[in-house]
Amino acid sequence: MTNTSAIQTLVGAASGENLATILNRLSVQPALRPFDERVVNFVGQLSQKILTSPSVRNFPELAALGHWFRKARVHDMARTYRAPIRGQMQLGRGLAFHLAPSNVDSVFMYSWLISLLAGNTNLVRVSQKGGPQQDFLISVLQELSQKIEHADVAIRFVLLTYPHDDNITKQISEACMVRVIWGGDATVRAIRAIPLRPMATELCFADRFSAAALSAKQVLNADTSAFKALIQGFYVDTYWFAQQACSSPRMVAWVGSEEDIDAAKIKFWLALTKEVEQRGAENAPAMVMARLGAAFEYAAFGLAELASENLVIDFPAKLELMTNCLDRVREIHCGNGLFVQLGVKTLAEIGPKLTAKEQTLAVYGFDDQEYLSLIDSLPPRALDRIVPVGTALAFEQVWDGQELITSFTRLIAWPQLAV
Amino acid sequence: MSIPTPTLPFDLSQPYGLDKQAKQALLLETLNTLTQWHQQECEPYRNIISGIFKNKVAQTLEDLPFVPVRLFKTLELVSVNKENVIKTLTSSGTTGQAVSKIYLDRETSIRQTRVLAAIMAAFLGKQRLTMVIVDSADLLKDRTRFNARAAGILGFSVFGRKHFYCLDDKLELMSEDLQNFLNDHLDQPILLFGFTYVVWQGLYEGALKAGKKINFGKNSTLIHGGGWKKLIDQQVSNNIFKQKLNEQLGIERVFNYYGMVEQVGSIFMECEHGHLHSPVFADIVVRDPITLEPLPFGKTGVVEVLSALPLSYPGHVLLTEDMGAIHGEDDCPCGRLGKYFSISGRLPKVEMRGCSDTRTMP
Repeated sequence: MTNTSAIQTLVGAASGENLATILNRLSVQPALRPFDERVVNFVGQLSQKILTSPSVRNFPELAALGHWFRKARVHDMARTYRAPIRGQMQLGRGLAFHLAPSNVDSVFMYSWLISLLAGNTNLVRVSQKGGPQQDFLISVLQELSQKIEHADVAIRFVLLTYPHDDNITKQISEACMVRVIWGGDATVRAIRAIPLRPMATELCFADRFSAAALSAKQVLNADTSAFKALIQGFYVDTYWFAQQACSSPRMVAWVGSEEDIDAAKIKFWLALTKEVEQRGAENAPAMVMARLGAAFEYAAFGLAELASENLVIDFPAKLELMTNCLDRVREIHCGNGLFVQLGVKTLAEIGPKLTAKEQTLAVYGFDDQEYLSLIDSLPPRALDRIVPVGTALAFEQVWDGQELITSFTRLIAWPQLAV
Repeated sequence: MSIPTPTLPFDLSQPYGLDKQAKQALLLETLNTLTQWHQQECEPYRNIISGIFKNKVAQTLEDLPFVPVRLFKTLELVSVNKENVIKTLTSSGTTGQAVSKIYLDRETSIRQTRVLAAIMAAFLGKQRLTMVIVDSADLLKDRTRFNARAAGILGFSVFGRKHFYCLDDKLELMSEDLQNFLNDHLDQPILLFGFTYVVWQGLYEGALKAGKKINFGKNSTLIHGGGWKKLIDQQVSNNIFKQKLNEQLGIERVFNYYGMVEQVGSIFMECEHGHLHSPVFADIVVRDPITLEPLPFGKTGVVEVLSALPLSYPGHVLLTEDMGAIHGEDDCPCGRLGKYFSISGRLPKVEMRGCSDTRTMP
């Protein structure tokens, strides 16, 4: 027997509704076609509520969330999917079970809201740790769910939390048609060991590592406004979440001649250090310690060292890579404003250094031909995104190489007579 | 050029006998030599000194290249051949956490014993007192692999005789046996040693629970260390600790010490005025926790500890994760020379996003 008393429902469950009842209710709801008007309306209002709330000013990532799901944007997304494919109907898969990561309060929202838009019912397990962002999102969702006009949508999702308990996860996994796991490698492995029903599908978003590639010449040649935009964009990519996001660059590859690289590094890091000073960045003593620990460990193993003009206490801290073995480099890195950097002659030279672990490459100053050479030089599965500096954290409908609406739906064939 | 094994050029009979000027010159030279020695003997350390500190030679104690203490948890830092390691000390860390591993050879171990003896003699005199150890004898069963507590007990037990371990294997007070032991040694000064929270929980609360007033008698002295974390959680200050131990157990003198498994031997003893003191073999620097700049006396920051002892591992300059403040140098009313300071707790932990298995986000 599963002990479900530890479950705490947060949004969408009637009082006294137990897990079995919730699962049954969510399972019998019909799957909808993507971008059902009622769901689009609900998501649009949610976005508006988030964006107009005074507390959103404290949480830039929530503003980004609200912005991502704003009505006009969702309508744009919908237009693509409403285009009829002759003889094929797209439908949600049924009940989707989302396991949210413990430290990021907004990412789980993207996953289940896209799934809701795709036509699924959703059961979301949020982190036990909570936090002000999570509390805020839950209160907004509660408020919206109570409106009569959203009754049809409000019965299609439940947010809950429970302490790690394989039996509860198993019970939900046996009921769902799609399981979505956000978490570290160990978490993903542990949850994947819990069986799904034979026809269910699964999306896993595990630990990834990200880098930036900068053209030294273009950094040197950038005019004032382009350079400013580069620095501000890099700041957002790396300092918004203290470099903890999987898509935050932790390694910086400089591309160009040695002289250009040397000059570009000085120009770039000086400007970034100023930007960090001006805009401020979380830098608690524990983060300093974590950064020091990683830097010393790199040095001890001969993986990376300080250039003579830099200090270990610099913020950001910069180390010069001395190895091709990125496995160790990834393991030791702990974010918090630490960069390992290397120099290469061409962008394509970076390709063979990357592995399936690498997710995002934030880039500045290259042309299409250089990107194509890079993509051709990649090992299997390496890199899912090559994006301009400044957009590394931006969530996209295609995540870790998967188009999410497609992954959350199925196609049903029907004898369509007329288009 | 090969660096010979560094010596320990201090007068062991005067552990608090050097003033600022004399001490700084002697300690700086000793520690610089140790840095060179460990560079020669320990490859990861050599890499750190070149990769992080660019091989600069320190001109002041504050300039010495430090090692963050957490590195002993993730790296094997050892400056002797493994076959010369006679003991491996581990920190007591909570279950699941990585523990520090400190490798001791014979020479380092002897230095630790001699220096600890010198410090204890300065507080207790030379005679070995009848000793009650506030712990369980079971802790010492594996003699090749010591945790911090076992190492501490073994290190301190040499300053007493007729040792009596007053807790059972569940760390509960054997009050009858203890009373019998005290009755057998009436009118003898008793030395007690134990870890701070074990003394509080096992001895004090044990006696309280058993409803027993125990009298350790005139001239009884308790020496305890290991950290205040658990007691701060229960809002027990050093003063309350001393007062309660006196009331319930009649312990006359209570000396705390600050020390760590990474620098056994050169401990910092609390004097009669409640100050922790640097002996001549050791020193302390307090740094700003963000910039690591040395802070002036009176300011609280992250504590760096220096010790002239470690030969078998590069732990002579350690950046700890403890917070503290230096109160003065050479002018403590107790008369001991050297810096005196207090420890206020651990570095505040932030809810770390990342460096763990649960960090994933886009």
